[in-house]
Amino acid sequence: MNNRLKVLRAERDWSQAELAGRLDVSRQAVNAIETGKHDPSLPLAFRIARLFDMPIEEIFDDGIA
Amino acid sequence: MERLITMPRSKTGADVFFASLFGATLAALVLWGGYVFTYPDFVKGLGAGMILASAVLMYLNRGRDEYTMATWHAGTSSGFAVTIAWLVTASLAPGLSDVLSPELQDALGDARLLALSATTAFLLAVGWKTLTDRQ
Repeated sequence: MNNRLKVLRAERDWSQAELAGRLDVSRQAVNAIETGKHDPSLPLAFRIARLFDMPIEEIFDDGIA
Repeated sequence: MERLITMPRSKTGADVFFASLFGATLAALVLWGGYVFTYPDFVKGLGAGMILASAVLMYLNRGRDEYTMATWHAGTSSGFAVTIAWLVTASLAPGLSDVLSPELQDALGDARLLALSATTAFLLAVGWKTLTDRQ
């Protein structure tokens, strides 16, 4: 699944560790999500959406238009 | 203050998990060395102690976040698959005496080797996932 996490993080000038802290996950988890190797659970996706104050579908794209 | 708030226990726990993976891998290498070569008993004991301690730390920290848990599951699936494959092969070994060498048949009956192989499969899967998921 594609996502804009890296772009959104860069816009706020946050490091992966800082974003991980805000989401209460490990830096490795943020890295794996950004690279698309790990799809976050629904609760984590909601936490990400709340943190960036955006709808989930504006952050994550499952490739189905 | 904000830094303190945004550094949750999940970060520390995940770091312990991945550091323990390194320790367990070193211990597994020591144990394989002890199996293949003739190491003193205290070296084998040290390796066994290290791998046990690392495994306990990994187990205790596996649920710190969902990615750490997914990594743990990759390892346990791999270890389980090796164990099942080993046990099935070992049970068929008497009927495959024409194909399997006597040394291999002896090795299939060695529970210590089975445990070490399953642990190694676990560590390889966790290590592989950790490395390939990085940028």
